[in-house]
Amino acid sequence: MSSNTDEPVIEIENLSFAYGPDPVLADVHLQIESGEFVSIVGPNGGGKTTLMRLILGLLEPSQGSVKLFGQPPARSRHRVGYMPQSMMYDAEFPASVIDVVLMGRLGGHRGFGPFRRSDRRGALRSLEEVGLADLARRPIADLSGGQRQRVLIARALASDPDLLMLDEPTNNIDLKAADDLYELLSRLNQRLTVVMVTHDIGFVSAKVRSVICVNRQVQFHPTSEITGECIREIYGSDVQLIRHDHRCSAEGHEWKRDS
Amino acid sequence: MEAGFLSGLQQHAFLQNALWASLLSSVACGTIGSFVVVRRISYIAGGIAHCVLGGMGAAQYLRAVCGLSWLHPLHGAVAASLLAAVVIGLVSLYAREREDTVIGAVWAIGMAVGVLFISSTPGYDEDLMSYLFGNILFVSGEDLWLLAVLDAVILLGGGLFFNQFMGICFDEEFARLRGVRVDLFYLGLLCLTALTVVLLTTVVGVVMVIALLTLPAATAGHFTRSLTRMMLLAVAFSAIYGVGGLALSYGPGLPAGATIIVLAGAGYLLAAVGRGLLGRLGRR
Repeated sequence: MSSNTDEPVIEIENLSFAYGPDPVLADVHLQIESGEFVSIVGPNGGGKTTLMRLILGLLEPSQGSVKLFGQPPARSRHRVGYMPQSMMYDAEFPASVIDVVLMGRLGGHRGFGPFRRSDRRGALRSLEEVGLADLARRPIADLSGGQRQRVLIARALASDPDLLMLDEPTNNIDLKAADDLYELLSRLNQRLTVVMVTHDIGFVSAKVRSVICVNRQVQFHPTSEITGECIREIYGSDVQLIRHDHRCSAEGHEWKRDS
Repeated sequence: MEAGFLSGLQQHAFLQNALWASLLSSVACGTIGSFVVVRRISYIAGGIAHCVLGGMGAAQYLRAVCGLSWLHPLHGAVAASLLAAVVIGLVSLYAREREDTVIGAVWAIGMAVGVLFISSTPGYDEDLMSYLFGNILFVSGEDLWLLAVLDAVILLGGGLFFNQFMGICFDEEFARLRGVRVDLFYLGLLCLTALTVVLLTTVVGVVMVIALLTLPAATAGHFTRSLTRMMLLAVAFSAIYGVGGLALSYGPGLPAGATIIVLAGAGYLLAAVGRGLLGRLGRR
């Protein structure tokens, strides 16, 4: 990997963003180092996806700056493998699994004509990495939700990224598939930085090493420090944790007693 | 009826020209029509198509009134359709929320301009009907050359940048993040759509062109889940509808364009119903 290890992968300073008169994000400071596995959590409408789009340079901040690998996002985002929410595309689209993964090679591709053999090899390698190589010729419309998510991860990996960014990767898939997905992500985290957006806070502790809470303001926590205070601050009121398989810290349990 | 068409084909050059026009247009129709269907831009294609009337009318007027004898209605059609494609494309890229209003306006203004020019051109009233509803039997040898050139441009553009076009049709934002110049390719796709629309208006006219652009691809979509195979099948369906409609209309002297469209509609319906039934049987 070409990434320079002491330079932060993502560096956000004093950032504010608004679509209209009300800020979606205000006064955000954030630094994500190489090799981290970070989850961005927060309620719907809290600005998680907006933050991700700002990091990718798809939106311009109203104030402050975003640096990706030390550069403006538009210049360095080719080093990011991006997985959008699965609802973003037409599930009936006539394409095979390998067709979709090959789209991850569009940037390095010569600019016209068919994909090269090396592009096809790279796409197949990413499919192997997510365990779907035997489905390469299958139409995407025939896949299950979990398989579809893996195809999108393979597409993100096809460009050999240094940073993987995922928007709600566990949406619309069952718990077993979600668990497998986190297993895969933590394996990928051995060689690249992983940042994902999720509203599924129950998953946070097991694999993820730190959590960024987004609800207009942004707070950074190592997972061991997620407290009831923090959760209440993000979600505005007490929320019920439905999943209990993650290890709650002592502080994490205290808030139940308080409330 | 069939025999009458075949013997007519041997005797009459105009019928041979019609056959060639329908085959040439099928190639562009199947490829670009598939992109239009999967990208869901048939409304945009409709706007472009109706501007073709403005271009044809303007060219006809300039030729008759201003004495520009080299100017052919098809030249006007190409210019107007490309202009409409760029205008609508820029609006849909940079002013998304008003997109449908603008397309509707461009659609109607293009037609209105055409009607005004045609009514101001002395002695060309009958052309209005053939522009609107097509008259494939009037295609000349000279027209065929222009159609062949358009076909070549469309195939070259669609072939060279197939991966980019497929990428922006499937997931525009991801393509942008991969460094594809999405806006440029989107405009390019609309321009190729514009040229295809011009080819197809010679067959079925301005009003019915959207059906011919989308029905073969939509029919093909029932049989395959691969974009390239969808295109090949769509070319075949388009040729079958075109030649079939020509043959069916020739004997009884029906308008060819309308016959082609009815045939295309019937084919699409049959495929949709057939697939629905097969799907239900398969589930049992």
